[in-house]
Amino acid sequence: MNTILKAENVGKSFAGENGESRVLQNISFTVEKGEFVSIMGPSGSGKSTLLYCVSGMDTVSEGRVEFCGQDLSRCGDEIRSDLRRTRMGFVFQQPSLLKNLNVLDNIMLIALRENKKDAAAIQSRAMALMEKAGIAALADRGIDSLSGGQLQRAGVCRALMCAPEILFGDEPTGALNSSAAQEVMEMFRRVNAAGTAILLVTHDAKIAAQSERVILMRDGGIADDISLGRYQGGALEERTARVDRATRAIGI
Amino acid sequence: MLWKIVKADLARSKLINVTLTAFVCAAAMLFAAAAAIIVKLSGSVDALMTAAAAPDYMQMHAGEFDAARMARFAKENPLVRSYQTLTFLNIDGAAIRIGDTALSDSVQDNGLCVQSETFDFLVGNDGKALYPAAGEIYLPLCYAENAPVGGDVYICGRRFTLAGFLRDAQMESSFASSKRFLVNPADYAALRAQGTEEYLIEFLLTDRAAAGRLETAYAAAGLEANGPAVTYALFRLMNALSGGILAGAVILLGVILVWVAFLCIRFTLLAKLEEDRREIGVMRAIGLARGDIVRIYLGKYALIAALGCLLGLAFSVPARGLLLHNMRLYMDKAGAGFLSSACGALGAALLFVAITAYVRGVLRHAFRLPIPLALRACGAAKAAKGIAYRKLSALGVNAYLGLGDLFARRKLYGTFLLVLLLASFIVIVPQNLYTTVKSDSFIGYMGSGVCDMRIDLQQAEDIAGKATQIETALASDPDVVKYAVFTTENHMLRMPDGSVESIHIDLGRHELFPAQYAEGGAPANEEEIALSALEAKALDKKTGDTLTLETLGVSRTLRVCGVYADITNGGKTAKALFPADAARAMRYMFAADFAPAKADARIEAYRRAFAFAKVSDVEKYVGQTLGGSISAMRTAALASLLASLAVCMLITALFVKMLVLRDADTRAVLRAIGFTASDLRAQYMTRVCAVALLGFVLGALLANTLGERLAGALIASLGASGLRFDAEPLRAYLLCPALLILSVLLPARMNLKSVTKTDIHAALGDA
Repeated sequence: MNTILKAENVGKSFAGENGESRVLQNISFTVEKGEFVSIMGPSGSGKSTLLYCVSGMDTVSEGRVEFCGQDLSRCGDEIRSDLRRTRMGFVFQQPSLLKNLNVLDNIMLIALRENKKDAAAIQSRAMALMEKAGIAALADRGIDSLSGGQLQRAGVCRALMCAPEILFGDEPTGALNSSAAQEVMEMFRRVNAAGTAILLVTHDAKIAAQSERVILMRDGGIADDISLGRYQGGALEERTARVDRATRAIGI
Repeated sequence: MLWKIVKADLARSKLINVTLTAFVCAAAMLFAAAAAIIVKLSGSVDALMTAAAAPDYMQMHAGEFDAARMARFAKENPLVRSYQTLTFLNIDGAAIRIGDTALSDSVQDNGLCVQSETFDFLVGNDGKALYPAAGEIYLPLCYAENAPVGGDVYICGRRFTLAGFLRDAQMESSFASSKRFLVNPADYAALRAQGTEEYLIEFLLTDRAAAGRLETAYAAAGLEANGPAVTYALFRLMNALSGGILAGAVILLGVILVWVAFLCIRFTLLAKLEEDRREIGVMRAIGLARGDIVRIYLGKYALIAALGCLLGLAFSVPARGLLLHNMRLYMDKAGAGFLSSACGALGAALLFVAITAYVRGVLRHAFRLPIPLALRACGAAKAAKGIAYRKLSALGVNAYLGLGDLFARRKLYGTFLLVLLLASFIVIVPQNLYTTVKSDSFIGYMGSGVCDMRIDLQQAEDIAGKATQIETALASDPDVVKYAVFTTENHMLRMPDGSVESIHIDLGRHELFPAQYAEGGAPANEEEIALSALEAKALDKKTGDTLTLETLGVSRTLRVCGVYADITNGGKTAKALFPADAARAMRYMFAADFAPAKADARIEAYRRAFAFAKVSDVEKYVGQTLGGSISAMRTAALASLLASLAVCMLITALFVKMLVLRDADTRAVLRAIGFTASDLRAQYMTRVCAVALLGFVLGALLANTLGERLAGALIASLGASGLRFDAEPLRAYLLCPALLILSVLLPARMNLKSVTKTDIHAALGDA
């Protein structure tokens, strides 16, 4: 079986001051091994909430989420933390690196939590990842001396330290200028090419166009699910136009 | 609008607000009370001295008394304004029974007297001289405990009705060794045969400061002087000491409370600002000025401060009465009332101003942040360079993250550290002071060495013969391990300006029972003399200086070999080794150590054998002379322990709560990338534990250096210099720290519950 992530009739409600508000309802989709999927939708459509629910950061109110055949809704917090640490990677909109640590320590952090004895091996792995991301020279720098793009690339390195089976991205390019955004996207594509599945939340059609599949969301539900085929580099206009057409078709 | 916001905020965090108000209230109460006490104190000691018309110079004497010669001396000396002789009927403690308690164990010289006619009155609380009817008795205030007015008092089997308590300007202090009981002249005459009579030879001078000159003239005239002599200045000092120390302690406590209140305000305010970060950003963005927002937050604290100060001021009235009552101060009902109330109100008002100014300062500092940063994430704290992982790698990631944060946010944790440091300081110092004063070796600070038994022989007929009896008994007693005889003689001291002054010197083998020497040591040969701290100060002599004695035409130059502590008998004494002259002996003191487990029985035997002398079990002697101080110190030690624990718990709870709120974003990231809730708790606990341990260790170090000196200064004001702590290690360094650690860890752990509930989604989604 090649399905790595499976959402079945997922619903999510938050208790608010005026009763319950339903943020997600009746959502089903799968992500296969090595697949690159984007979730797109306007603000408030529930795309980030969906990402947190399927990655085990948050629990679902209805339905179930399976990761590699394991039902996340039946797992306790410890097990879900374990999965996030060892088999999933996360990249956020803000770089979200710890201010007190230098770049290298930020990247090594999770691996050290797992295995503190093998610090040397962990460090060489981190350095290798930074080498590939072009930030090896910044290893000993404090994080406030880095640019947004550099920070985000460090964030991706951190996410890759555990050689995740799936990498989640919550608008990872949202706070970057276009050239920095493109550098980060190239990193994502390299990671994906090496076999890691990616689930990316974005509201930028040009970013979404670089994935294999785009799930379009509206008002907490899936409005469309379009397949673009693997992006091999080169001109993006055609793919972007397809995404744009699909979003217009559902009225967003 | 402002009121609405303040009201909503007050309702939301009731517990914190009530606690804060209570702190402010307590601080205001103490300040107001202290201000009032100082005003009263400055007047009351003098008021008592004036109402009682205390003598400027008094000489006690036992034995033959030549009244005509004394009257002639008084008449011929130009310094003397007025002169009188009172009698004091010394009664054995065992013959005095107050209610059901006999005073057989009392180390005080208790005795009867009648009201004076001209000066040195025994007065009531209203300042008026007391005149007991036949069958009535007035007791000194120190016996007020367990003695109901109207109850029975038996003196040598004669029944008296306790009519009330008297204020004695001369002998009220527990440092004075005699206590006067006031009875009707008829009762006095009836009991006269039952005790030994002493004379109080009292002078009023034309110039109070000339008491020293009179003392010299008195000694030079060779008048009756078989007993201690005391001056007005010394009475005043003894009376003022207890009150001054109390006012100081109350103010210190008030300052500490204010500081704790400030910290509470700081932590709750910072936590609140953290919660409201986005709203503040929005308010600023839509154009509210900094001052407007400051007012919104200030409102609440101004209200709390005003309420606390007003309540504190109200409570300070009964508190003041309680404190003053405890000080056994002479209460001048009419005078100083308005002034002391006004000073109390001023103290409370100053506190209010201080609190609002402090809140304003914290807020202004917090709002310096530019608007976009306030609107965005936790950019408030500038990224700080932590330490590299390799330096702490052995501890594991959680400890590393925990400790790394300590270094990165030193200032934040520094405040917390300071609280815990002071808490342990405040616990350990009174604790050690208490165990020091309680310990056997404390007798060393009272001018004599540590021994099992001391026998005081004074004011007796054929004093030298009786002394020989006692010494023979000690020398032939197989249970006596070692003993020494000390003879006190009066000598004349040639001053640099050529005048002479009298000095009392204890002669004997001091090295056998060494007192507590602040510098130098006991005299080792006949050319050396050791001075008490107060005597050395009065004579302006240091170790190594020389002084010249001139007695009966014989001149003797002695080198000062040491300065020792002495808090008894006014603290002005000296010790030397040259041979005593039995004919000049004023009093004798014998010190003895017994073989193990023999002490109790032997002391009892000596007490029976030498009824003419005062035989004291040293342990009991210390207990009674310092009993009041020891029990006060025990109360203080316990109170400071409880207060510190409460402060630790409160501050830790507030601090951790603030930390958890502040770190919401960082925590969300850590949770997202796979750290478990217990990982995060471990990180917080690492920080709290590290700060607590550091704080408590530093506090203990400080307590043993600075604290010892502070306590030393306190004791030194009583005449005992060079105090060293005699701590009970188990209590001071194990039990108390363990309690303190618990008082930090428990509230920390409880306030970390919310870490489990970290809403990753909300925290990250906000960013």
